[in-house]
Amino acid sequence: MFLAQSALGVPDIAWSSFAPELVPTTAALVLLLLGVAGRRRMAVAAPVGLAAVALGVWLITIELNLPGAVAVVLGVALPALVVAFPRTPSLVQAWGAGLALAGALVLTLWQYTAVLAPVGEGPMLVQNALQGSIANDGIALFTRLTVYVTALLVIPMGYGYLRQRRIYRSEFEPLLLLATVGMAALGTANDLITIFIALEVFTLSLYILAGWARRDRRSEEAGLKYFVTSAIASAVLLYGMALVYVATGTVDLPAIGLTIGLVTTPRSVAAIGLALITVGVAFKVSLAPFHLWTPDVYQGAPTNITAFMAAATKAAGFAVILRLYLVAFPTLEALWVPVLSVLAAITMLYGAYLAIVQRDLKRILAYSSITHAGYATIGVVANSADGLSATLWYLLTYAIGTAAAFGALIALERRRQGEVTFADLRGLGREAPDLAAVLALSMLSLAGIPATAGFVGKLMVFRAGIDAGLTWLVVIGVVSSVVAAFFYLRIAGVMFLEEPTGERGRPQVSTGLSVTVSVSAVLVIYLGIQPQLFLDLASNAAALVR
Amino acid sequence: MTGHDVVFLLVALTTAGAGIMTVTSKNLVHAALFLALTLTGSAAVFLVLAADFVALAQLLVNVGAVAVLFLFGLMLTRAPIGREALDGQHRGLAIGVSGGLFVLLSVLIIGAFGGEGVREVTGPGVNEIGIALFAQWVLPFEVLSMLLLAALIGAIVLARRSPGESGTEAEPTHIELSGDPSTEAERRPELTAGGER
Repeated sequence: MFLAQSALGVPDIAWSSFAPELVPTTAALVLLLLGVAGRRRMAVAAPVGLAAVALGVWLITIELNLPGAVAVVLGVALPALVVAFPRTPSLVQAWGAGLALAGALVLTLWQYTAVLAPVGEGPMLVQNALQGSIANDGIALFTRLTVYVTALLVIPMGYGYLRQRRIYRSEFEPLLLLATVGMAALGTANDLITIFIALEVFTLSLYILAGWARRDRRSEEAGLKYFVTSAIASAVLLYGMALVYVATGTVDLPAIGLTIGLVTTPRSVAAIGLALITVGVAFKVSLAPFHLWTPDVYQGAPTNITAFMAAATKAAGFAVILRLYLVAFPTLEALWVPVLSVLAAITMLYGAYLAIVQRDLKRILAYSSITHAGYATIGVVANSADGLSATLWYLLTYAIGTAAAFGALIALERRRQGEVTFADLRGLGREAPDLAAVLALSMLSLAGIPATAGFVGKLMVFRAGIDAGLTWLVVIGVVSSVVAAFFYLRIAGVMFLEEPTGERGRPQVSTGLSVTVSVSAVLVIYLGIQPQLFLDLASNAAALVR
Repeated sequence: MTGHDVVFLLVALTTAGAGIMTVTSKNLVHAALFLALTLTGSAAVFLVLAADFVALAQLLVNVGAVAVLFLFGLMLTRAPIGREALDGQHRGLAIGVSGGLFVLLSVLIIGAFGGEGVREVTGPGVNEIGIALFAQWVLPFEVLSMLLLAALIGAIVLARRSPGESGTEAEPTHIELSGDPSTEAERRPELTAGGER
């Protein structure tokens, strides 16, 4: 995709390579402006909408029909929203952000069909754009899908929750959008510099979002703890990247992959760099023993943010892990496969073990997320095309299952106005059967029971592990799944088998929450029963820019 | 001794003097200003050595951002400024650590580069770096602007009070200063006690 360069060396820009990210970025800026404009929202909305419509019409005239349509729809929607909700600007923000994310999702699919779809059989095409900064391949596609879907689920889910806790502010949606864009950019980033900057964009937004409830001490603690640990992890990661650059003389991942195996490359420097990078990324996706921040941060952060962190951060973190190890370090396989395998084994066992002894549901889900990071790592250490598509698919199913679980948790938390423990679940199956059903379904999916999305994910990851000869790791994975199934099923059991204790009122379910929770529940079942379409997509996605 | 050497010597002496003044100054604001001068001096050292990009980066980042941040921090946090605000309790330890560091770095640098003379700088100039930044690295550069935007929003969110949040729920901060009442209400009870004096 290198196009003709002009005399100054300024390149032509392949807009299609990052078209999906442009929509939420622009939306974040516009929503910020709307928040500042106050009552004169129309003065912002009308010109911006007009500009978007004009852009859309121009795009349609140059035969880019779908992106043009997205721009036109969003351009019309913005003033329409301002007119429709004159008294509740927060609804304008939420709808605007949601529509922008939907637009990003549409553009992701457009990008796949227009640019990257495979011709006939075989893996999808790949696109290498912007002087190697962007690689549009399977990792990018699935990270975008997962992250945008998660963000789209989280925004309506948290709307009522934030308002009830009185912590809603108009900066919420822009920050969430920026975090989403950072994650999606991380999925496409193909050199160390872009990777690091994209990583910082989303972690910086998440520091703030985790500490969003400023008057809640736990939230404050979560923000600070996440900031401190994550900043240290970033520093370690950056140091590792610097050493890899010293060893190879390049920051471009495919070039590192070519250089790092050569005899002329100082192997010890590269190995130390690899070790530091491993520590850094293990912190980010919370592999044990680098997981210690996770339970406290997940518990303290507002629950919708926790859902976003658990589902989307995992996808973005594993995107960078997959890309680093499969593209840049395949020749150092003998070094990182054993290390990551051991980390995965510790993570799976330790996470499942600690989840059993928790009382608070948010902490249980935090430890569950740690355990799932271990399962996803099996697909990475398999170091094969199957492993790659298994991990990508696994992250998608995990994200949807987790979003459903946290959605149900939000409804319970709103009733309780505080932490949710097992006592609050007692007899929920009778009080609110629909909510209990969704929560139980998400638990089944996270446990990996057949006919749910989680089962297919786990099956693929384990199969990739066995094919790669890592039977011991898969055995540990199965043991950990059995242990984990205990606490997942206990949650379901408490809801349906025990009697409710006293009058507690019904869980509070707003329209947005019930829609998103239902959608994710339907997705969990659909991906569990009819996974073929997405499985094909996942196996097509086993194509990397090398 | 060439003119080049004389300039270098002057710049280096100024920098070193400013550095000493930074740590010996008793006034926090003066120390911060001397720090700015020290950093400017090291930028000038780079400039004398014909490393113009490093000099500019040093000026922009360390003088423009860090030193100004210090001053803003002093103003905004109501840190004790003025004479005698800095204590010297750890002076001996600080002298020991910095002296040790100085000896260590000197030995390392002289050991590594001691025998070599001055060489021409062959790295890329500001021009090339600028072009590379906006051609080769345009995507990270643009993503960086989003990072700054996120940081800006975050700072506003953390600093600003929302309308519903009056701050009355928060405990007033007590500063224990030899038993002095530290809140306004305690210091001047007549304000809250009405007219019952």
